[in-house]
Amino acid sequence: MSADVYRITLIAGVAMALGVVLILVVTLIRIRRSILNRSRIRLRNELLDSWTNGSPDQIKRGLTHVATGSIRGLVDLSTAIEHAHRQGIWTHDLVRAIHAGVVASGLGARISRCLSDRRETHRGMAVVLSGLGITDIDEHTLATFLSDPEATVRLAAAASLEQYASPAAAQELIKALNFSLLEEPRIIERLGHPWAIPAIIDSLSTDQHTSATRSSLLTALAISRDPRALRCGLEQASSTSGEVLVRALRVVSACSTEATPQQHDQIGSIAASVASSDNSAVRNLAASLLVYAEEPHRTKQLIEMTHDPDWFVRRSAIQSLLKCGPAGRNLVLELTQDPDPFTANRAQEELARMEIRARKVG
Amino acid sequence: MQLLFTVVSVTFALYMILLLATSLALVLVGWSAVHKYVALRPLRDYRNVDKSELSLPVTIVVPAFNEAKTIIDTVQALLNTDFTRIEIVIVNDGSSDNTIEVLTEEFKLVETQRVPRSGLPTAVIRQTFESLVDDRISVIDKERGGKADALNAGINMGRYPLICAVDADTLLDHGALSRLVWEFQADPSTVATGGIVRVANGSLAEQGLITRVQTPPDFLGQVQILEYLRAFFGGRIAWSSLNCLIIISGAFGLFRRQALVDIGGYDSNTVTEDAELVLRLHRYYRDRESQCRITFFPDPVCWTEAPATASQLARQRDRWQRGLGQTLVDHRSMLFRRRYGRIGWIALPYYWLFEFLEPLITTVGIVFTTIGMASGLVSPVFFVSVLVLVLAYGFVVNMIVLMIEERSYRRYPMWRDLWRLVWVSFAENFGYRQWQTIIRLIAVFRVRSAGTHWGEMHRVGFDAQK
Repeated sequence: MSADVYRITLIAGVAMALGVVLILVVTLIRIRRSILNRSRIRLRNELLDSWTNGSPDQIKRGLTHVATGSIRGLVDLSTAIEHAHRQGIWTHDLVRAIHAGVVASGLGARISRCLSDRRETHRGMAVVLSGLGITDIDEHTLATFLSDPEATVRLAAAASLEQYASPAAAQELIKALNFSLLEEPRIIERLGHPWAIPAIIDSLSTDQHTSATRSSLLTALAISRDPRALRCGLEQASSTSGEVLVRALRVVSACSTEATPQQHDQIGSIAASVASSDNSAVRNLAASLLVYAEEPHRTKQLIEMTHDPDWFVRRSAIQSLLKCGPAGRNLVLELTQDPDPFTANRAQEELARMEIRARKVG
Repeated sequence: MQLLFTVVSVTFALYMILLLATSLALVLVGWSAVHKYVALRPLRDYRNVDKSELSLPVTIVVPAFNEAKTIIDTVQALLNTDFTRIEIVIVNDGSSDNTIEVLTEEFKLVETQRVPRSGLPTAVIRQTFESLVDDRISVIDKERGGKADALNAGINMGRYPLICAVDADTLLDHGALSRLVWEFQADPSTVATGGIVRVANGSLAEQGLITRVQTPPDFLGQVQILEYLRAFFGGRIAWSSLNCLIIISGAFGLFRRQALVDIGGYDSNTVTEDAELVLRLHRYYRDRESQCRITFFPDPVCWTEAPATASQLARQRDRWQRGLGQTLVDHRSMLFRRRYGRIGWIALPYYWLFEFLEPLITTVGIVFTTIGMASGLVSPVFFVSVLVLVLAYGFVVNMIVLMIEERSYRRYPMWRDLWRLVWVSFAENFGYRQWQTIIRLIAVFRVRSAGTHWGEMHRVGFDAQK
């Protein structure tokens, strides 16, 4: 019996000791985390102070701490840069001063080493910092990370190339489109900005790209909504077919508000010429762009399109009719009695939407 | 007789060791996954998700049944998220309270026509409304059909390619949605993702946002915080990194709309439509040998109001256990089939053995061992060892989960909250866990009984927590 009591006491004692150890570990983790957080805030503030005062020595000293510390230092540097952006102190002069500090402190060499690290966090952090203009890493080197095995690093590389906002960065992103290194929308969203427009237009003017790449480049033009894109869109729309035509029409649609009266006429005539295309996506865009066409063809074509086999074309035609003033609205009212329930429902829905918009304005 | 007692007791001890080992393995896999996620977080450009025109827009479906107290805060929280490419479809599922009146007054609703984009079968739609205050809000008023039915109505009316199902008693963190959308964009084979759900009880909420996180003073609230942490850090994340996630919480999940339509939407004949849906998604894609990624992320956070009374909690847990049983029984043909890979060989057997049947096995084991010890057929040392194993299992897993929380997010910054959680990690073993086992045990025998109605709860409302 005494042996049993001894064993039971031992088991209970071991269990209690294990419990106490676990509680201690949790407590120590919290204490360590608090200390770590404080030191990270201190480092960030030190960096921000040195950047505000602008003394090269101070900047170098702060960056030396980052260069000699753990990988968290790189994260803190990127957070400090974010703060600097928010505070409005992130200027070209500051970037130049930090760049000099990065080279002098050995941080540049560390970031370059991180680029070839097997750990994705290290590679990724170096890629993020490279995009901020404080290192000597060029667009070409950065572009190699668009095919990194880790998706997060690939996306970070695309974001960093956008930060460069240079013709070379645009060329690298266009190359990535050619080789399908990253999902198409993730590259296009980085390219669809004014800084990339000249490079995209140049690329479209040559025959070196596949139709898939051309389509992607046109989407980038469309999302940029840059007035320079409209001319290119109109040219492509009048000389292409298939998916490229769809994307070109999207460029025209996105930039049409910036069009000159002459370009409005051109848009209208292109829309009228493709309104009976076999491709429903083309007809859909044509239905939206027909608002720029001349009467009486405009209304006639739109009415025909309200009975298009494709549901989206019918919806676009109804929306365009509503943009054609009171006459168009009356036609839509008539469509609410249409024998085709889809057309009738859509007409009702669009009228209700218009009414809601009017009440909101009211 | 002695042989029987010995066999049962030893089998039970082995079961407990296996349970402890599996739980530890899962929680350690979870720890590693959380660590990786947190380390990669600074590399993710979440701001671009909202900025980019090519980001996938989201239809947020909020099914509501008698949610007048919380619905406004929930919608405000959704409007305050950093992802603006959304539409919010609130589905009033035949509420008997003034949910629809509250919504009409707050968001100035006007009746409108709305054409469904898909034809999932649902109960009769009475009216559809749009808001004059914010054109991202629309409301569907329908006959009562249950939560799954309401979600299907929302999917039918949704315009966007992603569907986010959010409970009407939940608040989303500011950046939760863009973080989930980011995951869809990083890997196009993703068909569903879920985010961590945390307990809002005790925390302070203002204008639909949790402004101060703290634990509630009551034991029930505290213990549920721990249970949620355990379920997410010690289960879902691990299953997700093993690519065998079979549950995405109904309180907060993001799905590809087409995938939901393809599988016929939510099943109205089960009480836990969320688990059933995910399992059906796995089945659908694996039957067609298509790529499908169903994942869980620890970072996107949704706050939920957990049951505040014992009877509500008992009802909720009974529903969860019955729902799990229904889902496992309905999909039993997926067990040990090569086509379903790890789901059929690892995840489902685990859920059968260590989740669904666990209360039954534990009860039988403890009863046998206790009787055996009382009648001298089982040695007291063995009995105490088993008892320590049963108690240690919960405590060790709880403490590792708290370590993960402390190392990663530390959402409870006050020491008082940490001590409370440590205390409930220990205290839950004395009474609470046994009570939960009894509730779940009864539910095991009632899998096919009772209806599929809403798990209606008395809401305190987030206002009360300000």
